[in-house]
Amino acid sequence: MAGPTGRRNPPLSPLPPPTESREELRRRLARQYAFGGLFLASVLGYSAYHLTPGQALGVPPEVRDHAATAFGTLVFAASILLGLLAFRRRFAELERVRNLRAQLTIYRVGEALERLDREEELVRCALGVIAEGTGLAHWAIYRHGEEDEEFRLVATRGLPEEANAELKPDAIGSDARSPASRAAWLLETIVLRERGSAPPYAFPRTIEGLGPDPIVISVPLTDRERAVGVLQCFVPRRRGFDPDQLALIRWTASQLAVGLKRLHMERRNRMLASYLRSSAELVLVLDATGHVAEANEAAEKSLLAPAGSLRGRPVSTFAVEEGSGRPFAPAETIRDGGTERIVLTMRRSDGSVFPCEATVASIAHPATGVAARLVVGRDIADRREREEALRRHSEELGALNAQLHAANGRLAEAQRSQQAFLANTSHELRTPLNGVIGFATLLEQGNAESGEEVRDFARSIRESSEHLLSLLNDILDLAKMEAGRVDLRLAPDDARPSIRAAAESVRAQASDRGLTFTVDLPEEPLGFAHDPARLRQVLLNVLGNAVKFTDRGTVTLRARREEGGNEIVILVTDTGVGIPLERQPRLFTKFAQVDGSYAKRRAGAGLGLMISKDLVERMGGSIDVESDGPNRGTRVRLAFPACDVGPLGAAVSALAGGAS
Amino acid sequence: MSARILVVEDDPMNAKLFEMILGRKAGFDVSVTEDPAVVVEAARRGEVDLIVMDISLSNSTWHGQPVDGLAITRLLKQDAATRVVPVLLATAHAMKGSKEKFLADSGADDYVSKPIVNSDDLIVLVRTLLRPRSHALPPAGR
Repeated sequence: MAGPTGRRNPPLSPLPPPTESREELRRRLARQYAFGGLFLASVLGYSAYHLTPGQALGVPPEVRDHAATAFGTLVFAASILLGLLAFRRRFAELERVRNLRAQLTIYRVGEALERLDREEELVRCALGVIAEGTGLAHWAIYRHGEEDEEFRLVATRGLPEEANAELKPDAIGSDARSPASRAAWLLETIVLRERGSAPPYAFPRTIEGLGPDPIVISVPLTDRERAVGVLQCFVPRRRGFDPDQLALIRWTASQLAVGLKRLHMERRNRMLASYLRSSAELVLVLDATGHVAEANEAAEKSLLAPAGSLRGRPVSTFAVEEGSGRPFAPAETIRDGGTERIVLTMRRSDGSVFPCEATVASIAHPATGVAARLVVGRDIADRREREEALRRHSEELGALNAQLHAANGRLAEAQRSQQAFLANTSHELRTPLNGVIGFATLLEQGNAESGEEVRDFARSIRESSEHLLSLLNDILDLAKMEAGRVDLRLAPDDARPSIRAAAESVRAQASDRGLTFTVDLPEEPLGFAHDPARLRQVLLNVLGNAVKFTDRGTVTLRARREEGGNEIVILVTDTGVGIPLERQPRLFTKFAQVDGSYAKRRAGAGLGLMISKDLVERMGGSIDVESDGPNRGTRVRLAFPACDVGPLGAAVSALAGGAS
Repeated sequence: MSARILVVEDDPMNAKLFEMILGRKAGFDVSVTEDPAVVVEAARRGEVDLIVMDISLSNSTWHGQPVDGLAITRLLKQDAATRVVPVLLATAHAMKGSKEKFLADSGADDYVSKPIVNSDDLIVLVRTLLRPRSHALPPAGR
């Protein structure tokens, strides 16, 4: 059977030529010896009767007849005896050859199984061997498909091409009728001697050498209580088969099942091996003591280890548990049969580390069968990075959102304050206008009763108009300020002249209201960088407020060099209405007075502080307003960084100071 | 007897103006205050026929708390004894929607915005508010 074994495989052991079947031999020998014996007996009998010396000796014919008959009988019996002896010898020889062939066949099946690594070849070779070994010519093998579970014919021998199409077995199951499927279902050898209920497709059509209604022998190829295929033999009815042949068929079937299983396992092993090789995941097999038994390429690459260098190393030398930092000891980590997920910190051979998310499973060591651990892990550094980036983005988004929210709030607040500003500007302008229009109308309609009253009305109109003008200036200042167009000419100079000028401007107003107004300035210059006009504006506002909000008592202005000479402080104190504590934080916003209630309004006080604050800050200073509460007075503290004034400035200041 | 009008006003110039318009021109009996207690007391005693109420009051307090004209009007309108006295709000708060808001907020009878451009209109308005009580009709003209 060299043919089907393929190029790579040497031929199987030779097999003695086939023998006749016992039946054939028996019939042939019986025929030969019976005819031979009869012929010999007849010849000897005849010659004994007619030609023997008896005639010459004159033996009476009766005696000769008897003698001839006895002799012939004797010869016949002897020839039968000899024939039987020869028959026996020949038969023994035949048995010997047959046994040899059977044994050789068994051996050859084994040989084929060992050498062939393709299922197709194995099946074809096995068919050849069994056909030669049994002398039976017509065979078929059925198998489950590799991909699908369909049961179908995979190889035939001695059957014509059409038979391949005809032999379609039923699906394996309790209702299967074709003999192959029934054998696979029952896991038993089925010998079908009559067609009976078997469907027509179980039998190939009459073919040469097979005759009608062949005997069909179906032997399942079993692997652990499961049929992986069926070996089928078609025997011509007139020829029959003997138990030895059946035994040989069954033996071959069992060997073939083992062979097929081996191939299957080998294929799976190859697949697994290639999977492990090409897997991006790190695969480590650890023995019971935690040493690496197997490591795949991905593991070696990830750890920057040369091929094969991981084998034999304790896993704890390059893997520690993340978090706890304990050396990785898988034997303690899990009990037999369990799996566990764990994150390991893996150390590469260059000392760098990476996080590895691993599944640890308990398995039997592939070589020894002893309990071992399978570690399948992946490098999650990238994923960590992405998660971290995502988290950062999300945080940034959150922060942006919060900013947006805050900006929204500020915008809404700005809108509210803008509306409040408009409403209050309108109110502030309308109040003096009422006086202007009202008294002008009274004058116009001649409602004044005396010259004194005319003057009184006219004064009211003038005062209201002046108030309007000051309001207008404030509003314009504010608009310029908000547009960033207030130009300050800062020069380091003595501030006393500006302070004095501002004080003089409010002195009359203060004495009108019956207040005591005190100005306390030092002898030496108060040098700091300022714009004199703007400083006067600020002080006029602060002093004006002090006078306006004080009904009796004193208003004091005091200026000094403080903080070890580093700071010029101007302090304006009054004994007026003060400011409720809760309103103090909002003093420097536009129309800070408007706060739910329309009470407590003092004309023109809404914008001044805000403008003052802006101007002071542009001159590098600060302004703070303090009050201990209603009717307990107010302190306004202006502070500026001090600087030396030039000799000229100092001289001028000294002159001016001396003159006052 | 001319109708008695109480002007609640903190600004002396505006107070003087009301005295001129309503007193000298229209001939009403005008008095001025910014003390809520005086207002409430006068209303209770029936010593006043109409109140002209400013809203922004710098110096007015009621039981120690700063109050505005709206709050005083509410006080008057909540008390059955003083509810009948008509209150005319006169204020420089004159943005769009102010009138409706103030009237709803305080229960005042009417509203006039400052500056008062036409003093004769004010006088007509005051007379209209006084009319339901015939005894309070002021003499025509001065």
